[in-house]
Amino acid sequence: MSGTFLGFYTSVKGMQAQQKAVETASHNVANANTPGFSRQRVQLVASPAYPEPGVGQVGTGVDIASIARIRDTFLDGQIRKEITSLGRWEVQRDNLRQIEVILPEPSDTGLSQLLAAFWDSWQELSKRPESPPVRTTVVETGLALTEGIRHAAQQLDQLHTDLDNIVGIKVTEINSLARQIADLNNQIVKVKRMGDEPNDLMDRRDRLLDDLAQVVDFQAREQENGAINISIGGHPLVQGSVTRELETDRNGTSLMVKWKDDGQWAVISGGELFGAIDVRDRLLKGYQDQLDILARGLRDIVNEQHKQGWNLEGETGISFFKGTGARDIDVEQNIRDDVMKIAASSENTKDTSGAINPGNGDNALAIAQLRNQDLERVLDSEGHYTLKEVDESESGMRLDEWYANIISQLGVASQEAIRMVDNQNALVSQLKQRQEAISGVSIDEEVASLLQYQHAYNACAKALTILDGMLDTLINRTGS
Amino acid sequence: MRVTNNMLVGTVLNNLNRNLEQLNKLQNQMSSGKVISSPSDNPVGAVRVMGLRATIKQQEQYANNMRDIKAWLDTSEAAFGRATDIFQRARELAVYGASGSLAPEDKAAMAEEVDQLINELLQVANSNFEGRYIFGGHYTRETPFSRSSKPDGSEIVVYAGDDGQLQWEISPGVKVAANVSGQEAFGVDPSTKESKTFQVLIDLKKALQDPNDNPGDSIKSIDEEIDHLLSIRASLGARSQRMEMGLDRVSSDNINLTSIQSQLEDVDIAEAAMNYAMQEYVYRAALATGARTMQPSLLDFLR
Repeated sequence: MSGTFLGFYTSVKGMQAQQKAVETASHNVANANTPGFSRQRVQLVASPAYPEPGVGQVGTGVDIASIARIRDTFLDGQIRKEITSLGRWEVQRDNLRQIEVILPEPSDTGLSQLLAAFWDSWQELSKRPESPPVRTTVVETGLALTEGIRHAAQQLDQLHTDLDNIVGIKVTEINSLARQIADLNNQIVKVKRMGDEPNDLMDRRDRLLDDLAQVVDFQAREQENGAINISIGGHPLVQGSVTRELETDRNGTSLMVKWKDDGQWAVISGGELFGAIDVRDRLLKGYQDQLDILARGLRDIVNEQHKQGWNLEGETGISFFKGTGARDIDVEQNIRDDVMKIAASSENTKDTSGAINPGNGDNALAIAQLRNQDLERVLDSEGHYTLKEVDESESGMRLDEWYANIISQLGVASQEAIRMVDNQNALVSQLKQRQEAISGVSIDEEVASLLQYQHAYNACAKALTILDGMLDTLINRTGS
Repeated sequence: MRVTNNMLVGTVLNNLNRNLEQLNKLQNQMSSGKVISSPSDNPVGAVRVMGLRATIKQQEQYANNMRDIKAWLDTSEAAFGRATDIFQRARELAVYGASGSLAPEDKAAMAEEVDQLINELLQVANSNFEGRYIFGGHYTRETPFSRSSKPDGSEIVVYAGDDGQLQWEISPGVKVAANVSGQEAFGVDPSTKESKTFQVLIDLKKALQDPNDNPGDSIKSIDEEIDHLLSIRASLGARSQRMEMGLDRVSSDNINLTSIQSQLEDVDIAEAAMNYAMQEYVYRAALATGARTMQPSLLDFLR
């Protein structure tokens, strides 16, 4: 037979449970705008009944099984995967945009226009080889062109340095996130050991994992005890409450990432960190190399033709350009000092009597005609790639086509990055919508719950009052 | 699907953002006037525009060259016109001097006029254009023709230039000579540097001075010179004509190329303005719906 006061106990348990539910709902409402928060639900279960012979099972009220957060961890994994890809493409897009600014094409100020002006000045010189102002124009357009190439090369170098810095910053970010995650692991394990659900701590850890996913690709595995272990490229980063940090080290000219403990190079294949490394070592490096080849090609073909001509001082075999690549190409100093040294003539300008025949501009024209010369890539004597005139039968590309080729590669890469960012953004926001649909706080819903629980609480209290009345009848009004 | 307040806000913000981005892009296009402002806008188009720009610029250079060649040719042509006039006058004098009834003073006066004609022709042969002697071959800075005398005292005109041609480019790989060298025009013997053309006039002058000579003997060589000058003039005229046609071709080519370039990279303002107006309308609609969806919740309807 049930005890006299069992009903009290049932009502009180009911009131307590409804109160917890109200508290949880108000916790949800309070965190409606907290990023990364997932709504929580009090899981109510009926208390174990006791059997009453001949009657059946008698209920004993309600118990709180747990307060659980509502979250789809599979979706978390999907979102992180896409965030990693988004992070990578965002970095690529931003940096490729920057390269597009460094090589402003198509425009009236880009290298292609400087190159065209340079060839045109030789055309003019072929018509007025004896004119010092026209000779000066050739030197000036040559200086503008070499300066343009050097400036672009310097800015690309600067971008390389900037990307090195980004790599450093991202590694610091990874280490900091890893430490925070390890710290939360530690707390979560402790709470779980006591049999509780550390919902808010887990939300915070999930948020950190999202942040980490933006920076780098990783594998996460949740352990029995509630900790999440993280590894990058198969190498552990976080194990329980322990972190193994990354550091940067110079490998050749670039800053690379290695593990602090065993000194191995880290294998990075996604996220902002990978984006920065990939732009720097693949795309940027490619454009730098090609600009170098272009500069050397310009130097070599112009010099070769220039050396065959004669200047107004009766000299031949003189170079026009100097330098080893895009970073230091320049017009020869003696030509800058004395424009009469430009070899515009195809014959000796001083005849046997010492008279000067300055009117021959055939070599200047030969240089101007290099504009339409097909070129191919070859190794020079120092083992660097340069451009050289192709034989009649073979096909090649003109100098401005080599340059246009760089621009076209850049355009395609940049366009791809922009498109990928758009796609990833759409994907991430769609997945986040789904996550929000599952875990987000709906004010309407919570207010409805609050009312619902309030009514239940009131009803429990009412039941208590009725029991109280019944006992009052039983104890005070009977037997007297 | 469960819809939360955050989702509504997020969706509204996302859409507003996307609309603004579109607006910004259209505004950018309209204010710059270019559809392609960087290679990523259209990689293929950007490279084509670069190629077109380069071609147009090169064509302009060739047009410049052709104009310069034409100016040289026309100057040379004018010079040869004057030279022809000089020889016509010389011929008149030769014919006149051949009639035996002239007094020695008259012949002397005529010889004097021929001497002036020689000076005049010298001036023509030493014509200069933009500070350069046009008949000096590659020796553009030295006076090409000057009067001189041989060791035996006989008069000659010598040439200080060469037969160099000023070859300028008018289209890829095609060169045209802008000049006629003095050597070719005035019959200079490359070894002695003496001018045959001038010699004809000098001979006429001598014939007028020497009573034993017949000035009529010069008529044949004067006619030859006139023919020679006329044939050079004809060839200059033909070359000049060719430049004229070349210039026409370049200018029509460039009109075509520029229009292709414009189609590729320029904004169609009417279309852009319309797109902009439409986008703006969408943006306003998004703002209006945003303002409405973000307001109500269950709380608004509870006491």
